[in-house]
Amino acid sequence: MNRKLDYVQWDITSACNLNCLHCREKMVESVRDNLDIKEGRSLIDQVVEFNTHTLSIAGGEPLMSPILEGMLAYSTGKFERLVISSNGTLLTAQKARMLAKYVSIMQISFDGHNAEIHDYIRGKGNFNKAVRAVKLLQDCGVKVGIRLTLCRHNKDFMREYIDLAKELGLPDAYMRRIIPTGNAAKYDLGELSAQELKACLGSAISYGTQLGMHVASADYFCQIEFNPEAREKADKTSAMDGVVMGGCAIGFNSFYVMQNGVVAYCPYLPVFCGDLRKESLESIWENSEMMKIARSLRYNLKGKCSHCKYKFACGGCRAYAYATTGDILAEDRGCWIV
Amino acid sequence: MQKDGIMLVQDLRLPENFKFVEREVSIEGPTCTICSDCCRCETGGA
Repeated sequence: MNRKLDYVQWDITSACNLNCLHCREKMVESVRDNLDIKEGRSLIDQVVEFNTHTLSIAGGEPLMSPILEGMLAYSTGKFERLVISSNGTLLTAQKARMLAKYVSIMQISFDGHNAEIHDYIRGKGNFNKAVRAVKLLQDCGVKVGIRLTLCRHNKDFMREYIDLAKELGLPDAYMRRIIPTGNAAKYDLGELSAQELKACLGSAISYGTQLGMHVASADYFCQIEFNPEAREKADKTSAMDGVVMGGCAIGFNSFYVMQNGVVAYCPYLPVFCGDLRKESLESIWENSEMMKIARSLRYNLKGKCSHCKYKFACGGCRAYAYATTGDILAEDRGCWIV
Repeated sequence: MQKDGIMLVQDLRLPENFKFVEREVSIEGPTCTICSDCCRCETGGA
């Protein structure tokens, strides 16, 4: 097989000890039959066949998975990067030592620069536990990345969030806007307008740069706005009409595997592409109608995304479009560029 | 939509004139050796 995928995310468990106000996991209520260790090994083998660069293991809370260590051991040496996303609250020194043997990067979520904001979203006492987790991991030599989900409760504290990363000794900090799915739709943590988003991210990135840190956000239009290299690349794509050169990579070089082996678009857009308990990844990738739809979305966009010169470099976030309008082809109203 | 929340093709309510396109793509990655820095990466770049 002559493919090279960038990124596969596997939600290894649906179990979690928290119930965060923005949890996207709550959009899929009944997925409880997690893959077992034998099925997990089969998944890893198939993902390896796709020459995947990064395997990201999330959940739920991955540290609650009884097969986590076995899967990490089995994955060793098979990916250039093995990442775990965790809330950090269950981390112990023993677990940190175990993770240090296998994991490239441990992502710990922070939703505020202090306990007041973080714990409002994630539950009392969890800010201090997340801070402790970062320190335990650092003591064991594990690279840590922190990520904040941007909402109205933390949007005015971007500099403080960057300061927190600095105080924790981290060279970088990441943010992503909230996507109103699952709990985030239920509790309405506040969709930021395009201009609010631009101001927040611009402030954080500018401040981080002053401190010599790498501060970034996931959305492509954010990269086009604030990252000169990304803009240069995007400008080139506008001259190559119809060639997808960036943006959402679902169906091109990325996919998402749910806890029960269902292959879907992404964690925020769990569109059924196939079931690994019934067919191979190869078959799903090649034959799924939904994969073919994913590869064609860019040619069917609506609204401002349809006539944006960056649509083949960006195309907006389809999960955000669906979450905010019910239409996967709708414009991404969080974008300020058009 | 299935009862477990997983979305099916009908949930997308695609227009009848939805255009299927199979053509060259040129997404190369990761975009950065330190940080994918993109929505491919749930870690937000970690």
